[in-house]
Amino acid sequence: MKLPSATRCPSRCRPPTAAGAILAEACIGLALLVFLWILVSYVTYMSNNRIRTVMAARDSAWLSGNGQNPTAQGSIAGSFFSGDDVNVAQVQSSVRVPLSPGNPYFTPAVCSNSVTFGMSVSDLKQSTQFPFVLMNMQVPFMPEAMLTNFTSVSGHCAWPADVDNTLSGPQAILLAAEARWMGGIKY
Amino acid sequence: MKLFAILESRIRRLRDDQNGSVLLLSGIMAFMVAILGVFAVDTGQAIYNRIVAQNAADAAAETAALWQARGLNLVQQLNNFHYVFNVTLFGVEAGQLATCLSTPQTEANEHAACSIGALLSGGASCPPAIRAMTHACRECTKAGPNNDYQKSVAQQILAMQQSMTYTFPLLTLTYASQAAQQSGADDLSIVVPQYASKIGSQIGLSFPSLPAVNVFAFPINPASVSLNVQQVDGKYFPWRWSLVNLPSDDTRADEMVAKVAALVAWETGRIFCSTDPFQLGQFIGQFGGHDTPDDWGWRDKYYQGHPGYMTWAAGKTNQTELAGLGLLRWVNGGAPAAPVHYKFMNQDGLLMYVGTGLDSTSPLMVPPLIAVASSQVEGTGVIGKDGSLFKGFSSLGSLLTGINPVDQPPVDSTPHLISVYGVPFPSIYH
Repeated sequence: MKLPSATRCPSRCRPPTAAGAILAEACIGLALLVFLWILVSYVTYMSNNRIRTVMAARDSAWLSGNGQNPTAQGSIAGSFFSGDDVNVAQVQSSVRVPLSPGNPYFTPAVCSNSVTFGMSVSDLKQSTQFPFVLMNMQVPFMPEAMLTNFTSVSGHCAWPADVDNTLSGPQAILLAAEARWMGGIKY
Repeated sequence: MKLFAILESRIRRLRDDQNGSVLLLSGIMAFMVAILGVFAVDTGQAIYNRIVAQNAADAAAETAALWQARGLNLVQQLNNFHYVFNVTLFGVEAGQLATCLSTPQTEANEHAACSIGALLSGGASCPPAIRAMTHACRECTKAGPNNDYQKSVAQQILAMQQSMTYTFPLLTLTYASQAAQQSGADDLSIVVPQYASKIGSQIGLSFPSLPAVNVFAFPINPASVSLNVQQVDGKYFPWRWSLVNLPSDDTRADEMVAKVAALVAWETGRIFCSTDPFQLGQFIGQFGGHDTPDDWGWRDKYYQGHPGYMTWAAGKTNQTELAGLGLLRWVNGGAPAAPVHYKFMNQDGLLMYVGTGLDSTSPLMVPPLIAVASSQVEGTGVIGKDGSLFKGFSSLGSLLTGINPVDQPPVDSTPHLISVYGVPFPSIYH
């Protein structure tokens, strides 16, 4: 026997709606949005810091070119948010001699500096630094090597070693003779 | 008809059905957020490249100024060496002339019996007059060879300096380009064609295709890499006796005294040596093949001048930015860069940032991913301290700060770098 509807559903019973579906969809949609928001925030954060690394590298190279030793704590951190020297992974300076005229007194050195912000994938496992602690997870089907570009950014700049722009008399004579040779002037 | 009814019914049902609407909206939102994220990252990439280009241009300009400074210092060092050498040799020659002229000429003919062996062994058995005469002959004949020696050294120094005027611009071009390369700049032969039409439309020029050479930075005005020094005559002590192009108001009686002394010594030496039985003067050869006193003195030509400012360009290719972000002016910092005027030595209002090339008062409208930077070498101009004192430079403009190089002992000019100007972005650098 078919029961009357009043029996199956009391008068207080609401008619069936899509409320549950909306809730479920909202959970999925909002989670997606939150994930995207976090991802975009993190990427823009790193993108911003990537810009700052190249600015910091410029300062770093300038310091090296002027005979100073740039460090994250001493001079480079100011280029980042709130003097963020904790997340400056590396300030590296090397001196390159691209082309030497052969005179030992007059080395055309170029200070080539790079600044890396963030941390390596291996360091990520033990990281407690925000926001990198958020990246301490294993993404399915994503090899760790691919994380590198997400966990650190770097910038690079070169600057001439312009400490020495004067010469002693003997040095001057040596280089002058060499310049004469290079110039190929016959007299 | 029936099909239409079914379709209408389904559309109506779909319209009233809210299932999946949030997911759809979320998808749209996610897409928009993703687009915004891409634009944010893409803008970051454009700005990143913009800064790299600026860094490269700055490094190139600084490197170029550095090598100009080094070249000028080297020229200055040689000027100093030349000057010291001249003064020293002048002292030696003055002593020789004094010895020569102090010899008693009245004893010139007393040279009868005296062997050369006795004379060379000390001349104890020779009459004093003979010794004096022989001594005078020998002293008076040294000026000519000394003058030749001085001239030879001076020519060597001047030749070195001349070669520097060729060599250092090449070094400047090479090292500036390499500094830009190491700072991340791209090859200009690739960068410039991307923007050539944009730049050309500003100044009304069409650029020819560049040769495929690796040049990562280049001066907008290639002539600016010149050391801009020129050979000028010395003016004051020590003298160059044969100098004829003297300013009319320049009175130098001391030079005339020296010249007369040289002539007297010359004639004295000729007399002594002509009566010298051993012909020492002829042996040394003063009177055969050497300059006459008119050409004695000091070939005190020096290099003098000062370089102007340089403006270098370096750039990045617009290859990764979406939607042509690399062509947007706001990436370049918004408003066009204003010309920067700088007071430098005796130059007021020096324009450090070039104009369009046709109008020096308007800023150069460079594409965002091409950066320009100017540099200047600071310090005392090579052998210069007051341009008003050297009349020969009046036609060369105010860049030169020439004076007579030996108005006072020249000092190291020690040029150094003072500034690198670029477009306002990023302002943290400037």
